[in-house]
Amino acid sequence: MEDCTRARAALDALIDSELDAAEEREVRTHLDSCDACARELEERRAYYASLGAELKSGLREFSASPKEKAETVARMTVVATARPRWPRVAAAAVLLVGIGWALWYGGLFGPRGIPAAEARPLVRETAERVAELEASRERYERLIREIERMTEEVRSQLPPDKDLSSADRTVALELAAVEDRMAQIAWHGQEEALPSDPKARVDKLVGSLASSRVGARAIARRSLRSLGPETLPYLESASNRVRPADRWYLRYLVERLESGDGSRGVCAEFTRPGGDRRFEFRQYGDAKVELVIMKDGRPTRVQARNMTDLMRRHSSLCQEYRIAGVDGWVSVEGNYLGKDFDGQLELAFCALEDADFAPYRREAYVRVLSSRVKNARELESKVVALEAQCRRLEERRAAAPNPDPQAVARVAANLAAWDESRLRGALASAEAELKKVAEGIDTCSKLQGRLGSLQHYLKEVRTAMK
Amino acid sequence: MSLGGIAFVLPAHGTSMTEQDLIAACRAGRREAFDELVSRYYDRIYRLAYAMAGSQAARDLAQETFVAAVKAFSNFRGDSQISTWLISILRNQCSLHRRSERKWNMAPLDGENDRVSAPKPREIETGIRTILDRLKDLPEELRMTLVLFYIEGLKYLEIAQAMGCPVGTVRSRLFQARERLRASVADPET
Repeated sequence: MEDCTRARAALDALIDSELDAAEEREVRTHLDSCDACARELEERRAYYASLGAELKSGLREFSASPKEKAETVARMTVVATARPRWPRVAAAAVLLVGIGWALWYGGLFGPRGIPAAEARPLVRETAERVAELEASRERYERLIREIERMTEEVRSQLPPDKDLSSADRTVALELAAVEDRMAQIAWHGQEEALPSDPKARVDKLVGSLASSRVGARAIARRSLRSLGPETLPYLESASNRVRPADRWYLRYLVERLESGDGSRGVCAEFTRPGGDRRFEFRQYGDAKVELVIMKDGRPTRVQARNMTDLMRRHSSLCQEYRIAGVDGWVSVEGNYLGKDFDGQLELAFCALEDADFAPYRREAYVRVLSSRVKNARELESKVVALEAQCRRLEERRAAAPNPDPQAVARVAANLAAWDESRLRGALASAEAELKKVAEGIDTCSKLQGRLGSLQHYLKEVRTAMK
Repeated sequence: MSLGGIAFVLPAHGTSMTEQDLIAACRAGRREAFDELVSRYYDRIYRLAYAMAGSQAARDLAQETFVAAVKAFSNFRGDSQISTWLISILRNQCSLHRRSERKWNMAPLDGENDRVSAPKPREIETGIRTILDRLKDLPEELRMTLVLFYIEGLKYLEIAQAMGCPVGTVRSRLFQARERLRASVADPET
């Protein structure tokens, strides 16, 4: 039986020709003497062959149009030439877009410039877009540097030598969410090759958690999240070797792996044992909520699909026990807990991200976090109002910078001889790229706001909550 | 070899660039190199994006992958093939795409239905509806493993590199994907 279990576990690899010679010999020896396993092999082989044929016939001949490919190349060239790769003393706006590119060093190899008023309208419009794109890219890169600096500053305030308090865990959790987002939008491409041996893989990633580079740490954390159950014992032992700020994260990963598909682990738990005030609240990784309370002297279980469902169907219960929050970030009787709920923590913090309106924000932040609200409904309505307020101010702040007139003039000079179709292509490419950069700036501005919240939280609220 | 992005000697007409030369040329920002990169890999990435997210999103995802690659060339160390590296970028783009489609909702104040319903599945061409419909029901990681194996013909190790996971995980995901598809044929309602 044990031989059959082992053989069947290797059948797929045998069919896919992925076994080494020794493994294949072992499996085939078993198959020669086991009709059941041999039948299983043939059945799987036939099914996998038909599945493969169906997939290949469905997708193999699919390809993109030449127009799409040309558009992609155009955008790639916009991005490549918009990145400042030469010393700034030598070049200002050096970007040109369109089919059949030319690269100029403004002021060195090209004409001095055509004032915007003298250029053809299409040339002027294209030059403005291109110059705006470079200015936006510079702003984007400055924002990324600033976020890196703020991330380091917040992380340095987490105690390195002792276990994290629940307040510190809150900070560590939110910091991890910000770094994760930055890893997606700005730090990608820095992944390192990882060994295939599970222990070596864990060791390398855990080592990267201690890197001085914030991008490397964020990427290591993301990679740790996708490890499989074979790494469980190594993660457990590694959690005893890392700093407290990372220990809770590794333990969270172990918990996820132990609970199977990772989606069912407990994400937030509040308990008060025994007596007539017995209380247990748990939210799981699939958002389901379970409550155990004493009612008429007997423990009563309440279940809900998620926090919204709980607060809608059991609002008086939530009021009585002061249960509030959103999936992944819940509070009970003024205590807050949250986990990286695959991005849902963003909601709890993004309502408070306006750094320009500091006094109002500080007060509202402290009010929300210290739970000076009557009930869950009041908490939600306050967060909604704050979110609307911050969105209005955010729209003002996120307006694109005006392009430098000298940069526009220089670009216009280089475009002056272009025909209409080239200019239109260039304009379309610049506008598409500008939209992407604007989205990046928007995301980074929000992340900057979240980090600002954390800095304030560390200074004023954490101390009060200890 | 790139000379600070100023000059680059292309190989003679008729010869194809090695991967190293292609990467160096792309780092130098040469449009001809981007042409070559797109010509070699775009359809592959497009097919994968199509299998992952449908026809409408495939175009954006494929394009964004190559644009993101331009930004990341300086960090590419060449310890995997370009195709594997591009696939890992596509994975990231798919994840960003999924995130941007998700809608958040505060608890309703008036007790009405809370969650915004999931976007309707995109239209797909007739003739391949069945397999793509069934693929759509698989979790993303399983779907990508299956497509990389059958459509791109990658070995387990190459899939592991592209997806940033151990080979053992690739084996288990492939098995799960195959079993789930088999079950979905047996019971189309699941």
